[in-house]
Amino acid sequence: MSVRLVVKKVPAVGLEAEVIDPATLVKKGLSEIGRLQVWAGRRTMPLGEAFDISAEGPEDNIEIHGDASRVKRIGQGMASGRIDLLGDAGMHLGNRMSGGEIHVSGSVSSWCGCEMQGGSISIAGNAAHYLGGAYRGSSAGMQGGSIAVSGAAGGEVGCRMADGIITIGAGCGDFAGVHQKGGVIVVHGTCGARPGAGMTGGLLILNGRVESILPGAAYVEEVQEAEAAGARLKGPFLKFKCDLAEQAQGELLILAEPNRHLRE
Amino acid sequence: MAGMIQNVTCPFCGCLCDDIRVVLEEGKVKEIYNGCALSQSRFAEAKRTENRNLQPLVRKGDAKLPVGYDEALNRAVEILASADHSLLYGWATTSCEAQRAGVELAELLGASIDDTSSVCHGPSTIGIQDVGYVTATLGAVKNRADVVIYWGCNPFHAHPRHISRYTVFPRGYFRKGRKDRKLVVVDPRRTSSSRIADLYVQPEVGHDYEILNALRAMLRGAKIAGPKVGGVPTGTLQQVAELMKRAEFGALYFGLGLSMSRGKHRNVEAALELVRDLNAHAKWVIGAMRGHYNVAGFNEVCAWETGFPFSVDFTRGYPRYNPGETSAVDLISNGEIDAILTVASDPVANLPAEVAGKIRRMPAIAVDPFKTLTTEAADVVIPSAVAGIEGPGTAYRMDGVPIELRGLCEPPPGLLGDDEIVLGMLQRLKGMGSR
Amino acid sequence: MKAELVLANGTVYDPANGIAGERMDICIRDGKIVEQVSEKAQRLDLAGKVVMPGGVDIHTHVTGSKVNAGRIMRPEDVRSSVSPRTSLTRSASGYTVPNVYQIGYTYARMGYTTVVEAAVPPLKARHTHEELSAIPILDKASLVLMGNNWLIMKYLSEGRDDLVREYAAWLLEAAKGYGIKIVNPGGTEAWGWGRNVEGVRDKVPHFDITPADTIKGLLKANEELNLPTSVHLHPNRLGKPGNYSTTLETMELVRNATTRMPRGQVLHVVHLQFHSYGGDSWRNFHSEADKLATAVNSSSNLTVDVGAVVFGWSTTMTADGPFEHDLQRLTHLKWTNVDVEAETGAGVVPHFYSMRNAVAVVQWCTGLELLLLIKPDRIFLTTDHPNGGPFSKYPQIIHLLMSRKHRDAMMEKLNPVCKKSMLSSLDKEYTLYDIAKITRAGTAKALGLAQKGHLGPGADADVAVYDLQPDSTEGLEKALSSAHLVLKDGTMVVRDGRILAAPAGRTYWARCQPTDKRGEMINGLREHFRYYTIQLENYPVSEEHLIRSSPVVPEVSS
Repeated sequence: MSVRLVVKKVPAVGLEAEVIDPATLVKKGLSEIGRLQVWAGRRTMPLGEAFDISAEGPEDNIEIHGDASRVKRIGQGMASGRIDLLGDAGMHLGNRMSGGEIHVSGSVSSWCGCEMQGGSISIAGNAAHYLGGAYRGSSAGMQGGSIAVSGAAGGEVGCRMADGIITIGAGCGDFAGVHQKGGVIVVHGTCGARPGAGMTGGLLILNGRVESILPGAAYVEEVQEAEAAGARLKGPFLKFKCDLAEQAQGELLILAEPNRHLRE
Repeated sequence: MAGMIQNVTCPFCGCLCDDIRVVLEEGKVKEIYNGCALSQSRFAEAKRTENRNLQPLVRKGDAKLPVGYDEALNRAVEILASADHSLLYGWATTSCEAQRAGVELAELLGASIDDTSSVCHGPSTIGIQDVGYVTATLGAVKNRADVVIYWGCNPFHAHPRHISRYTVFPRGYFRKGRKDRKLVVVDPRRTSSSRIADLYVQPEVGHDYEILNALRAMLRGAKIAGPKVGGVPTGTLQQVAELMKRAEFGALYFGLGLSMSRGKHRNVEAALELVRDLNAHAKWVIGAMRGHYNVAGFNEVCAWETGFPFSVDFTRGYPRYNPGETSAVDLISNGEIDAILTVASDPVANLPAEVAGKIRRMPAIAVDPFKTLTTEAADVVIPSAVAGIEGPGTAYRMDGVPIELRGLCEPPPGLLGDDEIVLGMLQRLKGMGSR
Repeated sequence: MKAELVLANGTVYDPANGIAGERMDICIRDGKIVEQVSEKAQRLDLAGKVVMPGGVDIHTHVTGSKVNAGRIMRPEDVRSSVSPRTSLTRSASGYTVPNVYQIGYTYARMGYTTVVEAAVPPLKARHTHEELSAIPILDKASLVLMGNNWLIMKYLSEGRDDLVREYAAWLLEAAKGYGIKIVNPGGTEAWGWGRNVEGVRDKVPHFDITPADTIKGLLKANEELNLPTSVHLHPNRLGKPGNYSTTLETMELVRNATTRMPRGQVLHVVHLQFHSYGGDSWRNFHSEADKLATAVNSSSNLTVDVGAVVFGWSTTMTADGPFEHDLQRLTHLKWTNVDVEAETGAGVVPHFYSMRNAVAVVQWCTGLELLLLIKPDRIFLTTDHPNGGPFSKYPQIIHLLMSRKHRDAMMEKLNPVCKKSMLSSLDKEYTLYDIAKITRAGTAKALGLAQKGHLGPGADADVAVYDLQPDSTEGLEKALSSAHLVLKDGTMVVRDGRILAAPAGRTYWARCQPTDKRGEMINGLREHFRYYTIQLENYPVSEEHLIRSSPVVPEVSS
C-alpha cells in the first residue's frame, strides 16, 4: 500500500522517525501506522500526531508532504520500496540503506546517504555536509548505490567512499572525496578547497572551477574527456594522482579551462 | 588555616601544574609561588567576593530572588524534568567527581551532555577517531626531546609554563636544557613564542592542511610541485621534513590554530597522520594543548562512563554520539534544546551570538562560583565553591595524568561544591520516581 | 547481610576441594560459604543445574589510560553494542572496548565475580582506580607495571636488590596494586627511542641491564615480599614469528626459583598464545604450542594464561608500545600510543581476526593447542581481553574445548592451513571440572586469593549457577553467557541473565611492610623525581579513591 504522510506538527525539539521506511509501513493498516512511535527529544509520540496519514495507491511507497527538514532518519537502513519527499528532509536521510529509492524535491540536511550499501537517492535541491560519507570512527563510507544532487552539497562529499556513485549538480564545499578509496564522485559547478585529500583510490571528477588543490595532488597529464557511470564528459581535463601523502592511487580529473590557475 | 602549603595543583590551564606553593592568611590565599601569571589571576579571582555568586537565586516573575539551596535545586530539577531535550553543558573547569555526577544526571534525565570541546579541541578528538593519537606524557618529552614544535598555538600566552617546566627549558634525564633542543614554531602570527624559536615558519592563515599534506608527501619521498605551499617556500618545508626525520625524539604540540581554522578536524587529522608517518623514520609524539584544566578529565570520565568522549545524547536512554549534531553548539542552533544546565562555564559569553541568544530565551540553570553573562541570563543561579581552591577533586592534565585538586580554604559561607550540587539534583530526580 | 541460604541439589564443580560434579548443598551465611545453616535458611532448589564458584579472570584490560584511549579512539566499536538504562542498571555500550557498566554486567552475567586488571602505569594509577571503582558488582585487583621502570632498572644495575624490593613495595602501595607486572622488559623503554629489544640478553639502551636481569630481579623482590601472587610476565618479542624460543629462554631463567607461598608458581606467563610462534616470516608462521606445552608441563613453578584468539574484531592494547607500532605498520589501522615518563608505555590498534586469513587461523589453533596440551592446573582461560577478542566470547572457546566435533566443524570454515595444525589431531575434550579449573579454581590459586575460586567453608559466597547439561554441549554457550543465577557475597546479582542488583565490589591491593631500607629508598626516590613532571607527594593514590579498599598485608620474612 502506498502511504501518504503530511507533516502536521513537528515538535520544537525536532523528530527522529526511522520508522518511516517502506518495509515498516507498507504492510500495516493506517491506524497501526499512526501508532508507530517516533522520538521527540526523550519522549516518544505516535507518528499520527506528527503526520496526517492516508492511503494512496497499491505500490509499496511512501509520499511525504510538507516541511520535514527537522525530521531525522527517514529511510534509515531501508532495503526496498520508494520514498518521495515533496519538501525538505532532515539529517541522516537514507543512511545505511541497501536498496530502494528515495526522491527529494527539496533539500536535505547532513549525513544523507551515510554508509549506504545500495539503492538510490536523488535530491532536487541541496545537500548539507557529509553526503554519502562515514560516521565518526568508521573506516568505511558508502559501499554501493547512487546519490544524485541537482543543487549544491556541503563539505566532505563521499568521505571514505568504497564504491557507488555520487553526482552533484551545483558545486560543493571543501574536502570533496576525502579519504576516497573507490567509487566515483562527479561534481559539476564550483568545488571548494582540498578535493581528494587522503585519497587512496576511486575516481573524483570536478567539472567546474576548483578553489585550490593540495600539494599531494600530482599532475599527470591532460586528457580530452572523462567517463563516469557510462556518461561521457567533454574535457579537456587535467589529470592528477591523489594523494601523495598516502599511496596516491586515486584519480582526480579537473576541468582544464577554468582551472589553469591550479597549475601556476 | 595559615602557613605555606606545598604541592598545590593549579586549577587554570591544561598544564595542571602541581608544584604551586600557597601562603594562606586568615583562611584566604595571600600569595602563591611557582605559579605563572594565569595561575596568579585564578587564585586572586577566587578571593574577590564582589564577582562571586553568594546565594542561590530563582526567577520569580520579573525578578531573581535569593532562596536557599533546597529551593534552588528543586526548581532546577523541575525545569530539567519537564524538558523534552535538556542540555547539561560546561564541565571543563570543575572536578571529575562533578563530571561523573553530571553524566549520571544526563542519563537519568534522557538529556544530552557536552563540554566546551566543540569550540576548542572537539575537532582534535574527531581526528583521533580517524587516525589515533601517538602521544606521551609531558615528562617523556622533558627527558628525551631534542626537537619540539608548537603549531598553531602560543604557549607563552595560553600555557605559560609549558615550555619552561615541561618541554624545552628544563633539564631532563637525557637533555641538559634549552641548548640541547631545537624549538620550532609554526604560526601565521608572530607571537612571544615564535620570537624565541630556533626556526619560525609562518604559513598563510588557513593553509595548515596544505603544509601538513606537503610534509607528509615529502616524507614518502615525493617531490612537491611549485615554489611555495601555504605561503611557505617548499625549500623551508623540505628543511623541516629533514629536521623531523633526523630527530632523536620529536614532539609536536598543537592548538586552536589547527583545530579551529579552516579544515578543523581534518587539520588535526593531518598533523596526527604526519606524526604517525614520522615514526617510520624517527621517534615522534604529538600532543593537544588542552585549554581548561580539566577538559581532558571530562573526556576521560565521559568515555569510561558512556564509551564516548563528549557530545553524548541520552534521549533514548543509551549514549549516542555524533558531533556536528549532538554537540552543544549544533544542538542549540538547530533548536533541539528546550532547557539548559551550565556548570562552571559561560556559554552566553563564549559561544556564537546566535547560540547565546537561544540560551537566553530558554529555561536555564547556571551553576558557577562567579557572576557571568550566563548567570545573568539564567532563571536559576546556583553558587558553587571554586574546585581546586575551595574544594578537592580529581583533574586530568592535558596528557592524561590524573592529579588531585586540593581544598585550601573555605568557600563563602554555605556554598557547596559542584559535585555536591549535581548530586543534589540527582537525588531529587531519583526521588521523583519514574517519569 | 545476615541471611542464611542453601543452594540445594545442584551439581557442584569445586576443583579446589576435589568436588567433580557431585550433587550437594552449598550453605551460605553472612556472605560466606559455611558448613551448615539453620532450618530457617532460605532454600533454593538447583536440581539439574551446574554450580561453580564465581569466575576469576586473571588477565584482562578493562580500565585505565590505554583502555579509555581505546574507547575514545573507537566510537564505531562503542556504538555497535548499546543497551539503555533500566531502573536498576546504567546504560551499557561497547563491544571490544566496553564502558564500565558493560564490563560489570557482562562479566556478572557470565558468572564471573572477580577480575584482575592486567596492567597499570603507576603515574596514572589514579585513573585505573577511578574506573575500577565505577565497575559494578565485581571484586577487583590490579597489577602494576614495573619492567621498564627507570628506578627499578637503576637499582638493578647497581646490584641493590634491597632497594628494588623496597621500591617495588612502595610502588605497589602508591599505585594501590596487588601484584607486579612486567611487559616486554626493556622493550618499552627502548621504544622511548623508537626501538625495541630482541631477546632476554639484549642490553636495554642507556641502562646497564638486560631483560633477564629485570625478570630475575623483580621475581626475587616479589618472593621476598611474600606477595600473594607471583610476577606476571608478558615476554619479549610478542607476536613475532619464531618468538617461541625467546619464551622458552625466558621460562628457563626461572627454572630453579622457588616460593614459600601457597600459590606454587614463581612466574605467571600471560597470553602465552602470542608467544608460541615458529617460523621466521608470515609465510612460514606456525604454532610451536607443543614445545611450550612440554616446558610448562614439566616445570613445577610456572602457570600461564592462554590469550586465545576469537574471530572477528578485537582491539589490541598493551604496554608493549613497539609491538603496536609494528602492528600498525602491517595493517594500517588507526594507532594510539601513550609513552609514560620514566616508567612504561602503551599502544592501541584495532585488529580483525579473519577466518580466511592464514595467520589468524594459526593463532586460533595455537591457543586451543596450548589449552588442550597443557595440564588444566597450569593454564587458564583468557583472551587477553580485548587483544585476542572480547571476554564475552569465553563461552565460545569453552565450547571448542569441550567438543572435538565442534572444533572439527569450525575448522571446515577456516583457512585450510588449520588442516596441517596439530589441533586437527587433538582428541581431548575438556570436562566441566577442567573448565572450572581454568576459569576459577586455578586462577584464584595463582592469584593467592584464598577466599575465591572455591566453595569450601570460609570462601566468599561468590557462586555461579548455570543451566548446563553435564554430558552435552547443547546450549552451552548461551548457558555460560547468561547464568541461571549468580551470587556475590551471598547476594543475588544475576537471575536468568538479568541483573538483579549491582552492589559495589572490593578492591584488593598489597600493603607491604617497609624495611629499614625504606629511608634510603625514599631519598633515592626523591632524587629520581626530578625526572617526573609531578611532585612526589602528589604521586601516590590515596585509599579514598578505592571502592571498598581491601588491603592484603603480606607476612614479613626475616
